[in-house]
Amino acid sequence: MSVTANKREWSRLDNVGNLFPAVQSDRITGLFRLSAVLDHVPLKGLVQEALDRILPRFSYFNVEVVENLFWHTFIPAKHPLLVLPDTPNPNLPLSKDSTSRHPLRVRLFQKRLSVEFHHSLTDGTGALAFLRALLAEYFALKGLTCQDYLDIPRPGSTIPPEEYEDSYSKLPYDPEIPLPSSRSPAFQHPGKILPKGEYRAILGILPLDLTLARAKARGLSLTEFLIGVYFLAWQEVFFLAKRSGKKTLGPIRMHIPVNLRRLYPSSTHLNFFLTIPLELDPRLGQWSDAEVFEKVHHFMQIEVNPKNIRQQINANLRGVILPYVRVLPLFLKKLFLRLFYHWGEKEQTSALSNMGQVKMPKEIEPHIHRFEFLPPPSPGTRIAASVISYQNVLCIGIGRIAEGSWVEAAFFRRLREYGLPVKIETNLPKEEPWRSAPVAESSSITT
Amino acid sequence: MAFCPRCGVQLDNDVRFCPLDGTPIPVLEGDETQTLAPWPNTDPLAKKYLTSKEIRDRLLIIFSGLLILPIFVVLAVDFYSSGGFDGGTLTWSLPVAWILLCSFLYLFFGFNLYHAFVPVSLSYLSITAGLLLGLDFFNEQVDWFLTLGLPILSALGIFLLLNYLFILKTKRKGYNVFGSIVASIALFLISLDGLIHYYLQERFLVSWSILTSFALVPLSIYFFFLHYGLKRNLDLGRTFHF
Repeated sequence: MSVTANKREWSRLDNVGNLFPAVQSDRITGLFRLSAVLDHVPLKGLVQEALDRILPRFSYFNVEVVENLFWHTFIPAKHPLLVLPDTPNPNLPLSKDSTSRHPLRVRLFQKRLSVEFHHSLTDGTGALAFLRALLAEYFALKGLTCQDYLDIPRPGSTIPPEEYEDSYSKLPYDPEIPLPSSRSPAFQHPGKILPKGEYRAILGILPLDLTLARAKARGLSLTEFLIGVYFLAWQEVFFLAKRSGKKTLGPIRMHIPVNLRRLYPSSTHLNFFLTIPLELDPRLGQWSDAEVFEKVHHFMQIEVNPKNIRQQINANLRGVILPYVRVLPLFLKKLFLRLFYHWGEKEQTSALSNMGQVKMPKEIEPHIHRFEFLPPPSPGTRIAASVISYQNVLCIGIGRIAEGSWVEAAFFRRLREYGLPVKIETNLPKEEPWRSAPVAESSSITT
Repeated sequence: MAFCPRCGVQLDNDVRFCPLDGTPIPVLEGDETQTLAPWPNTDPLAKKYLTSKEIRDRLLIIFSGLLILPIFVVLAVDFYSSGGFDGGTLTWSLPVAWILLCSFLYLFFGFNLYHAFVPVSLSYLSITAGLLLGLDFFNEQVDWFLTLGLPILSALGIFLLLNYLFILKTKRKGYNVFGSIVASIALFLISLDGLIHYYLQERFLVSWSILTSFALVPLSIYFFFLHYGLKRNLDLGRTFHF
C-alpha cells in the first residue's frame, strides 16, 4: 500500500469496518445518517460543486468496496459522487448499480443536507468531519468566508496519514487477555418487522440548556440522563409486553458506543469506536427513576475504563490477527461473521449513541438551524437512538424497522414529564397513523 | 403550532395524527409557520421489494409453466408418434399428463392455501384421490382404486382430522401433540395393514403393523406421560428434595 491517500490503489478496511460489508443485506444496511438543517434551501449545483472540491481532501472516503478472495477491500471510486435527492426512508441499502458504489451518499431535500455513511468506511466522528467540511465549503462558495475554520479540513490542504490509519491495529494483540464473557439473550422490540426498504425515523428536538439543567440537577451527564430516560421507556414497553403474555423476556441491555479517540491518542477519520453494554433487569421488579439514573451513572463510571475497552478491542483483533482466521476464504468469513453478528444482536435490546456538541465557525453558525443523526437499521435490535446537539438545539433521532412506536412514545412522554418541550418530526406517513398506533391497537401487544 | 393533546409534543401543522400515540391532531388554519415539508413523500428511484405474496405468485407462475407446458408436449409427441391426424391415438401420454396436471394442482393449492390446514388437507386428499382414480382408469378398468386407494385415503383423512381436532381443542400444547401424532401414525399403519390384507386376501388381518405398534404405542404413551403425568402428578422436587 502506498503512503499518500490520493495515490493509494487499494486499502484495507479497518478492524470494525471489516464486519459491515460481510453482514450487509437489504435490512442490515450498515448506513447511518448525519444531516444539517440550514436556514435556506441550498442550490443543488452549489452543493455539488462544494462536494467536488472537498472530496479530494477526503480521498480515503472516495472509494468503493470490492470483494477479494480473503477480504473486502477499498479501491478508488471509478465514478463521481453525485448529490442525490432525498428519500422518504433514510439509510436505504447501498446501490448495486455499477455507476454508484460509493459507501457514502450525499442527499439534499429542502433545507436538509444529509450524508449517509456506511459503517465499513467510518464512524460518526469521521462522517461529521466530512459533513462539516462540506458545509464550510458550501458556505465559502456562497461567499461566506470564515476567519477561523476551527479544525475543519479545507480543500487543497495536505491529508495527514493519521486521518486514514486503522487505529485499532496500533494496539498490540495480547493473547493473554481473556475473551469477554457471553451474555444471555436480551429483551427485544415486540413489534413485527417492517417490509424491506422501510425505516421509521422520529426526531425529537429539545432545548439543550433545559435538558442539561435537568441532567445536572440529578448529578448526571447529558448522555447518562438520556440513557436513563431511554431505559425507563424500555421498562414501560417490557411490562406492556409482559402483560400481553410475551414469555421470553430477557433483561434490557443497551449498547452505548464509546468514542475511543478520547481514550487513545488518535485523529483517524476511519472507525474507532466500541460499544459497552449497560443492563437493566425489570424481571427483578419495577425500577424507579432515581434507581435507574443511579445505576446508569455508576455503570458508566465502571464500564468505560481502558481495561474493559482493551479486552473488547483484543477480542475484535483476533478476527484479523489470528492466522487460521486470515487464511479463511471470504465466503467462509462472511458466513461466520453473519452468525456471530446475529448472536451478538440477540444479546442487545437497543443502542443509544451521543455524538456530542457540533461546533461550526461563528460566521456559519447562524445559517444552520440544527444537526440531526439517525442510527443504522438492523433487524436484530430493530430500533436504535442517536443524539446530537448544536448551539442550543438537542436533536434525538430514533430509527426503527419494526412496527409500533411504544418506545418513542414512552421516551418523549417522559421527557415532557420532566418539563422539557419536545418538537417531533417524522417520516411517518401523515395520513396513516396505523404504523405508530397506540399499544392497544397493535396486533402484537395488547394492554 | 400544533400540539398533541395527549402527550404534549409539538408537531408540524400538517400532521393529522400524533406519530407517537396516534392521537388525532386538530387542524389549524391560518398558521403559515411551516411552509416546507420536512421529509420527502416519494422516492421514484427506490428499489422495489417484492412482498411474500408477490414472490409466491411469481414462483407459482414459473413452476406452473414447468408443469403445464410438458403436458402439451407429451400429448403432442404421443399423438404424432401414433399416426397423427391419420388415426393417431393417445396412449402412454395420458397417465403422464394426468400426473403432471395433479402435480400442478398440488402446487396451486399448496401456494394459495398454505396457511389453512383444513382446506389444504382436504384439497390434497381430493387431488390424491383424483390422481389414483385417473391412474386406475387409464389402466383400462377401475380396479384397485375403489377397494384399496379410496379406503386408505379415507383412513388417512380420518386420522388427520382427529389429530387436528385434538390439537385444536387441547388447551396446553406440548408433548401431548407429539403423542397424538405418533398414536395416529400407529393407528393409520394398522388400518393400512388391514386394508391391504383385505384387498389381497379378502379378510381383515394385521401382520407387520403389530411390530410398528410395539414401537409407536409406547412412544406415544411416553409423550402423553411427559405432558400430563410428569407435569401434574410427579413432583420431582418433593421426591428428590431439590
